[in-house]
Amino acid sequence: MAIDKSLISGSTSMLILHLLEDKDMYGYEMIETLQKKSENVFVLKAGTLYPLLHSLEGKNYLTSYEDEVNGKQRKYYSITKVGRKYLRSRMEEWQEYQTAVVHVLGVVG
Amino acid sequence: MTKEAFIQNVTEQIRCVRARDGIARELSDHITDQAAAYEEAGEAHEEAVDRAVQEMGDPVEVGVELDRIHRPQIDYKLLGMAFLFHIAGFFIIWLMGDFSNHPQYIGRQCVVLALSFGVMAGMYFLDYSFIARYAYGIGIFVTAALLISNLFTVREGRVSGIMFCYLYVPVFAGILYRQRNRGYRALIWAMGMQFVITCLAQIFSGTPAAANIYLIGTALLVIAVAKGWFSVNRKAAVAALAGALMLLPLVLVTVKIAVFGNGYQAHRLLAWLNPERDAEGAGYVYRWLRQEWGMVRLIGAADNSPLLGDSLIGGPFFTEPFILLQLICKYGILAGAALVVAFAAVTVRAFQIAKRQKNQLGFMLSVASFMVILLNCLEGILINTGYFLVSSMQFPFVTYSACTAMTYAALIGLLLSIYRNERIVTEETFRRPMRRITVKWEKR
Repeated sequence: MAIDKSLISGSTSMLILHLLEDKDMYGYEMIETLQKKSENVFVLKAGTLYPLLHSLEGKNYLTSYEDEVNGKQRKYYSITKVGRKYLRSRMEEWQEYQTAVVHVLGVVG
Repeated sequence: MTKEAFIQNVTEQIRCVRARDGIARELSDHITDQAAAYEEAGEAHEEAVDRAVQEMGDPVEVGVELDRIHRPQIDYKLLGMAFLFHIAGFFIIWLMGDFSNHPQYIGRQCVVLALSFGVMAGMYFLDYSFIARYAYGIGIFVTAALLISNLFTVREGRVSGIMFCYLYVPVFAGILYRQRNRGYRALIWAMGMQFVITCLAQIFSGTPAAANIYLIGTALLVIAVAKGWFSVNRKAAVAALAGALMLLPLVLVTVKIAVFGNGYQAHRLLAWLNPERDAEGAGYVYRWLRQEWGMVRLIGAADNSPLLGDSLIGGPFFTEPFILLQLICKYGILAGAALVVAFAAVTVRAFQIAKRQKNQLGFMLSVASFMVILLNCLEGILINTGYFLVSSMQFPFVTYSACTAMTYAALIGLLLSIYRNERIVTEETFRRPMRRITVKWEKR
């Protein structure tokens, strides 16, 4: 099912930060993992991802480093303490929003 | 669109040239990975690359968005403070130096102010990574500047280029950065360099400055080891370094006193601890300081203070290290408190800049600048209140010395440059990239 992009765009940073809570990843890996985990619902374009990653890094939610894996130099992103704190607040916000939408639409249970 | 054309289109939108390389490499990696995945799924190479490029999105949109993020930024707080405090410092020097009666010094002080702004602007616009690239060359330049200032400055109570030696501190930070990931040998080399700059500071600027440089160098070295720069056992190395480097001066001082008896420095130290011991000699200055503090008022001039009739120029005392006390004697404790608040504001801002640096060189250089400002301001305040050994240390902004003004201006300019490049300068900027994306940049 095609999802309205505006529904996803507001929460992309939350999804990315959540992915990085488990392990450090490079850009391509993030897109792949997100696609797999969401069963092809969230197909993020690289053109959206990289500006977002750089912006999150600028806000100190993420930090990056280079590492060599299988002979390839990769730029890995890692979530910071501030990023984890921000993620928690975004998740709470999201939970509240989701509950409200569910209540209004009357789709509980 | 080819991969190269896509990357060129993206990077052309990014005005900051130094941010382009890192971004180009990251996007290129992404396209390569994506194309490889398509190839694995059975597509032909060219087809796979084309599709991978298409899926990246509109290169102009991506570039514009990245340009918005990777823009040099100005630290208006520190810039505003530096501008305001330099101007305020100029007028304080005017008042303390009694320029109304010595108008010939106004022009000189204007030149000092202009030099400060010039040096600050120069450092601000320079790419600070040059300090790591040319650390040894800059070290030689600083030594030459110290040598010249020592040879050509008339001393006679007036401070010469003493403060120039603090420029060794960012140089040392650059040397530490160059030694990263090189193990124990590099650590020993860095310690050797710390010894060298401390000795040079001792030769050119005397014991108080050398002691400060040794202290700051130790702190930087310990931070570098703690951050894993040398790829050595961190905990053990930090403990050994901190212990050895802090104990060494104590041992040296004890041995010096034991072997050479009551030397000049020991005599000064004892006079500070007990001024009455040598009331008319080395202890005099501390007794005088106590007397001055007994005369000061909250607002307004102190009663019968000898400093009131004194001037920075040709006065009976050499008062520049006591400029804070002199201000308090003339205008009251509140005026002095305002000056202390100004020093504190700059020091705190320097700390905040250091704290937010993710770039390792930016972090170490900002810590170096912060520590020089902190230590000198703190010591200056303690000297003025009589709680520290009197030395010819200099405060920022309120100085008659051109060398001091330029040294602080260089450090503040460096902090501004680090802040400016915070989102631009990546670790890759300092080392030769493993592979460079060959894209022709159009000059913008």
